[in-house]
Amino acid sequence: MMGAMPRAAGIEPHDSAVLAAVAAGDGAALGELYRRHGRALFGYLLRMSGDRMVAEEILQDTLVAVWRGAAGFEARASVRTWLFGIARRQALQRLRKRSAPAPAEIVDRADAAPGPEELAVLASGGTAVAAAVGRLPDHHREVVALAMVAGLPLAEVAGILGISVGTVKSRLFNARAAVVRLLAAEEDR
Amino acid sequence: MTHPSADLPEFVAGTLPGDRMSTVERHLAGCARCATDAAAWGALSAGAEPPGPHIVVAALQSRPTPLTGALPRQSRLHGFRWRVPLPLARAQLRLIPWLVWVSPAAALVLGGVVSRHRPEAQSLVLPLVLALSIATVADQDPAPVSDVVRATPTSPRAVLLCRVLMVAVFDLVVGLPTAVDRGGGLGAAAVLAALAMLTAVVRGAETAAVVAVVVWASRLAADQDLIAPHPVRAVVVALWGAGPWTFAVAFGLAVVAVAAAGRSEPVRGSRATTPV
Repeated sequence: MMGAMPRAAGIEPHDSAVLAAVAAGDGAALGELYRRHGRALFGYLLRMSGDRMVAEEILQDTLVAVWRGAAGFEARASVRTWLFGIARRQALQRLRKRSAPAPAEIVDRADAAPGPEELAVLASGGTAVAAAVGRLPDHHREVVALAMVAGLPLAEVAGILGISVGTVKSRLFNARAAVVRLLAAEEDR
Repeated sequence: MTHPSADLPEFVAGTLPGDRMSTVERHLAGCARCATDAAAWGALSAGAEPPGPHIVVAALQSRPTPLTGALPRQSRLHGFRWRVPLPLARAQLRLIPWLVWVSPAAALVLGGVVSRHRPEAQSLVLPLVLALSIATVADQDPAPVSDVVRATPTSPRAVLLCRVLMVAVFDLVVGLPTAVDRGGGLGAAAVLAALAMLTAVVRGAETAAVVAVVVWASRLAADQDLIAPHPVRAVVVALWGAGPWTFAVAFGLAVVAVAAAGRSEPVRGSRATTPV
């Protein structure tokens, strides 16, 4: 369900206190931070990667980076924005590596498996919309993942991506149009 | 019937303003097509059940100590100033190719030798060498540097400053002792270096190198009285003087470069979909 993450502004001061505890080496505080933001972070990473296993790996890398870098939080943005910034760096790094030629084991497994379209649908949660979102260019998929899946306010999405709110809106609009086009093309076949 | 397709994503995310929210709600009650669409957008996040707390445990076990906190308390006070810059500088030293140190050093030593006979030689060589080496290290794109920066919480601005400072100090230490007109040389070097840094951040090292060479040539042309219109020449000469304005311009350019380093668009991979 959308919006399961508490979004009230009142929760933010607690976040920075929790992060301070993480910086001091408190592992339980990292667990608390994950309890609060794990769902939104994972939703974002799942849409970005289109693959549950990859998303879990990036999420774990993100937690490691948060654990090691918590002392570097400078409170210039909210803790959540900072967390998404780290997750995004990890995701971009991982997904860039992935655009290298696919490893042989995947080719091997493909023999017995269903066709690519079917797999894409399965990998992205079993819905045609999710599959269409998975086929969007990175910069469109990213705004959809942040605004629609992680449920962040557009201003925060703009902060994470380092672009204006207007650009976020236009990308969302274009992403939506592209998804509709992809779905229509799917229906025509 | 007009379908509120454009409002559906915001409706599902719960970010639609109240009045439009109720309009969409009313429409969905009577339109099966839009209700299906809304359910589809909602399903985007439905499959995103996050892993359990075991993932936190795994993260903690993979790197048992945070960078700080695990260190003794007193080192927090005494070591704080250096704990970030020093490891950062060491890491960047490993990432800067050796040619970035060797070729400027060679050019500057040569400039030093020539300036025994032509005293102004080093003041002409130093700014250009400085600008070219800064252009090389300020480029935001080349792997593995950009990969490392994106993988860590360290700000790309801090990394840029660290790299540029190290190279600048190195070049000045090698070149400055043999430069005659140190004030003039330093002012020109500062402007040219800051310009190269900004161009490298925004457009890459190659463009920065071309810009630095062209701009430096304009100054040499002004020096040699090759620029005909007198007012133009006066502006060029004034800009390259060692007055406070020169350093202010250099500082301003460097600040813009650092600011620009933190604002990059998302990197686009060559493939948008999952490899299947």
